[in-house]
Amino acid sequence: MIVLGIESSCDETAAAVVRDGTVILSNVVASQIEVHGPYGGVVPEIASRKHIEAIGFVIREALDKAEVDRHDIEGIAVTRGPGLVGSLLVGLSMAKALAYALGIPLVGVNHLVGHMAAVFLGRDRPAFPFVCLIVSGGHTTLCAVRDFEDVSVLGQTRDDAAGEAFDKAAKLLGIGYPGGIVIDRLARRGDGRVVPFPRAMRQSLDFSFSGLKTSLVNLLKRRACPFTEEELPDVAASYQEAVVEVLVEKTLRAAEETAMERVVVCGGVAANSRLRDLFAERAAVSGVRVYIPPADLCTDNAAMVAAAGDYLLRKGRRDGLDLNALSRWPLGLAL
Amino acid sequence: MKTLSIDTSGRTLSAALHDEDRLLGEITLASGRHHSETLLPAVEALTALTRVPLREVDLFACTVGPGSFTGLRIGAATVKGLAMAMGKPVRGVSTLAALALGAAATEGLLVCPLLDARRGQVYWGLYMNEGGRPKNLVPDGVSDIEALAGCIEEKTLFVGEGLETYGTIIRRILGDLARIEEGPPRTVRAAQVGLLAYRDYLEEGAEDPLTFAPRYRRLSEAEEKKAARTLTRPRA
Repeated sequence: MIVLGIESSCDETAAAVVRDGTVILSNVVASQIEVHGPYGGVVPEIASRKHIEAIGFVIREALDKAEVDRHDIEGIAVTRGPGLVGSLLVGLSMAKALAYALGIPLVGVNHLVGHMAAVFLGRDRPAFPFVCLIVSGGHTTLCAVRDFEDVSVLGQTRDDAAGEAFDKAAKLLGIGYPGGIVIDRLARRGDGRVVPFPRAMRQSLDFSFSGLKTSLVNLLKRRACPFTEEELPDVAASYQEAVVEVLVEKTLRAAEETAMERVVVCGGVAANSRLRDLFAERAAVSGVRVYIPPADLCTDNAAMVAAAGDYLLRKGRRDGLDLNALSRWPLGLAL
Repeated sequence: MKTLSIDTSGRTLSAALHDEDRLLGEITLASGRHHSETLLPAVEALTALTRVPLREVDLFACTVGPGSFTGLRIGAATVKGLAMAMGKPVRGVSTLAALALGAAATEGLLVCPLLDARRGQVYWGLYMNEGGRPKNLVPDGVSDIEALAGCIEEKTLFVGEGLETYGTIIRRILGDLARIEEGPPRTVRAAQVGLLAYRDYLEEGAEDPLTFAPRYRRLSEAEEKKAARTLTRPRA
């Protein structure tokens, strides 16, 4: 089945054509990062305006690059939520109009399920069930996935998401944006054992990263001067180690507690090189198989939405022309 | 030549089918339900009831503003999708022009369509219906009600939902210069949107679905605030 995926939940307008939920024929992403830069964060109304300007071109390019005609499309998958409602509605309205006019089935996809499905676009694909860690700028969630329609949450962050913890640290250290990428780069030259940052809530499967950020704030206060060029790599590496270690530890414990042998790690932070390495290292010891999508499919894209949509469509899921966007859509909530 | 037209710029939703100038059918909803939930079901019902399948539609049209930003984008994205799927052109229509055309018994009279723009402002323009097309005299824009009143020098008919909030104030400021349409304020109807789109299409041609987007007539709040800061920043 050839599925067109459409994603517009935040500041990226994306469309992709995917065959059989596994083969990417095209994957187009128009980013708005530069537009929102001067505002220090995503401005919802500006994001929505950019989406409506870009979406036609992005879809046209996705079809052209895939070398398919619009009449070759057999189904449409679109991100329905969670996300910015005004932004979601652009992709959703477009997707519904296309599906109606082309006379093909439509399915709304949970953005987080989309992230999970990204792993099926890689060479190494897991079988169900698996434990999944979704880790990004907005989410840090552990769940048990029996299939994409049967997901239960095992633990999640009680305050900041892991990606948010990276962004805030990078801002405090004055090293730039996006935080996850700059810290990852800097940390490669540093030693993660130098600064003893705290690891919170070791007993639970829930996460907390606000204490970690506070300890960095206090460290900076005590010094009363910024870190030197020589010190920064070690600080970044130590901070990253504190985030990554907790993520890996709890995910593997969740696998043990649920007696699951497969673990999927996805979302923007899953592109972090230290997280990927540490998972590989620890998984080898614990006997669990870890699956992580290729780094470029970890960030928001529409191929993952098409992959998830392919699965749901094959299971017979169909959404109607009255489908609406959802700003909040907790995993495991059946609709 | 058949036109499918929609309006989702305000609280009501309207969809219509025309064969050239002739209205084949119109569905208008004031149900309070979200446009995203009702728009395509309304279009589907309209095509079924008029027995005009979508493939017979030659032109897709919608209001492009002013109006609710989100509502305008639901309309524009839907029309874009329909037109791209069917390989047909699109045409955008001013919400205010559609309102002016609706006040049809006013040939030769100045018409000022009015929409509440919130934050103490109104969207408005000045039109005169001539030969079945509203001629635009003052371009669509946004201002406070006093600035609008300052532009009115002859007898003008005020129409539109902006009257709910501003009808009394307009009457007070303008006195005899203002004629306020009787009855509940006029809402945008696709019957006028489709008619206008067809006539504009004959005169000016179509628009490209790829570049088609609302014309908001106002910046986002974040951009407005940023511009204000830049303007008021003291010189060093």
